[in-house]
Amino acid sequence: MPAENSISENQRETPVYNFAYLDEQTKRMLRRAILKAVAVPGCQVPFGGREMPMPYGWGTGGIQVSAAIMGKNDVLKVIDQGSDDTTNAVSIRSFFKRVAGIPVTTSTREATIIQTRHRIPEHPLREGQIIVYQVPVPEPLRWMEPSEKETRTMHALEEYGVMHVKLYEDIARHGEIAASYDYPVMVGGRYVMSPSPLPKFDNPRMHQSPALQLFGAGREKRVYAVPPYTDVRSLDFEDHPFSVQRWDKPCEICGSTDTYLDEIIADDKGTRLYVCSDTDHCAARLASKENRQGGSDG
Amino acid sequence: MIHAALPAILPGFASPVHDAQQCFRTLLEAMSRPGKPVCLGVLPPVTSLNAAMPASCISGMVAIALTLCDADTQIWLDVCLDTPAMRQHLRFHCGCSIASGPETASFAFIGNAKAMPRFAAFSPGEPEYPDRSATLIIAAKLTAEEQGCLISGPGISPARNPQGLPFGPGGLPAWFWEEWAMSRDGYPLGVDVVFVDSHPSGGNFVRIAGLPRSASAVPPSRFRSGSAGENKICMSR
Repeated sequence: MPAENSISENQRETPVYNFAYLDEQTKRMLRRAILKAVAVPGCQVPFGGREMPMPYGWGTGGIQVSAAIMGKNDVLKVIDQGSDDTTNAVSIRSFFKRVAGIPVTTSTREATIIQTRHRIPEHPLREGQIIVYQVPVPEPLRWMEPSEKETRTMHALEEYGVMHVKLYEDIARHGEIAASYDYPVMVGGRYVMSPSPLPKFDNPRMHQSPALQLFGAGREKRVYAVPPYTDVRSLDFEDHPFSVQRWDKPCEICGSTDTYLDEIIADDKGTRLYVCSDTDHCAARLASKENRQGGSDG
Repeated sequence: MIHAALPAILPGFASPVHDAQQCFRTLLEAMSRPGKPVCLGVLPPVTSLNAAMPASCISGMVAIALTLCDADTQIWLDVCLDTPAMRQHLRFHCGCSIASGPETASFAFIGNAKAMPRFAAFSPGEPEYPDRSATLIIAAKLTAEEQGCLISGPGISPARNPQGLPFGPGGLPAWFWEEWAMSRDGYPLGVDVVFVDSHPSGGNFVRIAGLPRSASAVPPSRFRSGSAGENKICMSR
């Protein structure tokens, strides 16, 4: 192992990569795309995606957006399905710790940049925070129209009838709009946007959020944005209004009744538990509950 | 100023990576919160680039160029900014080409707003790719007391500003807000604007404010002056 040791020694002395991995020209290109994406909320802006040291599907789009915006003073939080401790979240966090040397956290409150795969943290975001979504399929019309040229034209002409037909067909077949994640939204009254495979539970929290929301799709090399205080409406019909998931039981760990719960199989007999998907929120809630109980005991 | 005696090129950012990042985040904040002045705190030295304008304003514009412009972008300088020293500086540091007219520019730097071309002179993007539009960097007085207009749209909290956010940069041509309101009809096509404070800041910072095309504006001629008193509140953050 001496060879490996000497490599890591070297890395500590002279950084092998530019700050946050990407070269400056790539960052400039991404930054121009991000500014345009913010100026036209919900519009998919192409960028020149770079080869990242991890495969597509691991959040290369989100990582490139995060790398383009982050600075020395940022504090990064990364979540995967709400959890800070899954492989994807841990590896992205350690990636940025290594190539940017910035502090990382699991606390939603402390973070200035939150990179997320498929959840918005339960704790309300504040002004000045930036949430970066990892997006697998950025085009909401793709399942109806495979041609990129066509979907571009449809967005240009605001021709979204096909999306309503899809939702209607859901109702005709299942009696309700069956999409429970990646539920299409209308941004700023103009663009239909894919909120990434976010559970529809989180859709209402994108509406008029005080934080800036950026979406990066690595495979498809696109970035789009929802600025703070922007209208984000989930598509629905007057007689079939949009609604979010509800659970009959509270979280098994913290007892929360207003958070998004994951179903967990607990044993070989098929016992099911429901626990918060946001691990940081669940832990904080549990700690404050225990504190309160401890206080009343004493 | 003697141009022949200008062999020395001024340095760019003191710390190219981190200063550009900080400048970008300020721009991002300006664009995502239209009409809210934000402070650009890292400025490159600019003495001798253009004596006609306050150093802080020129410096702010150069900082934006250093942050966003490179060989992939064409920039256009208005008559006020188009000096040999400025061209040499931007060519050397950004490697960008300088457009002969505003129509092909992706970034247009405008020192004298009163004489600026109308919005139609700049690229509004394409219906399929509205992002291919020009960004205008305009010198304007952000400390102006004059009555501006009420802007609303993404980035402006309707709960906090039910009638719109009063925003009145000084030194703009008379047609500016009327034409801005008209160009909104073509949304999502249109230009985006970053105002750089043309009032000397007296320190190593300059204030900037964003006006993306998503912001709709009610020009002063269309609302009663009753709400203009709020102007001061938004300016003194």
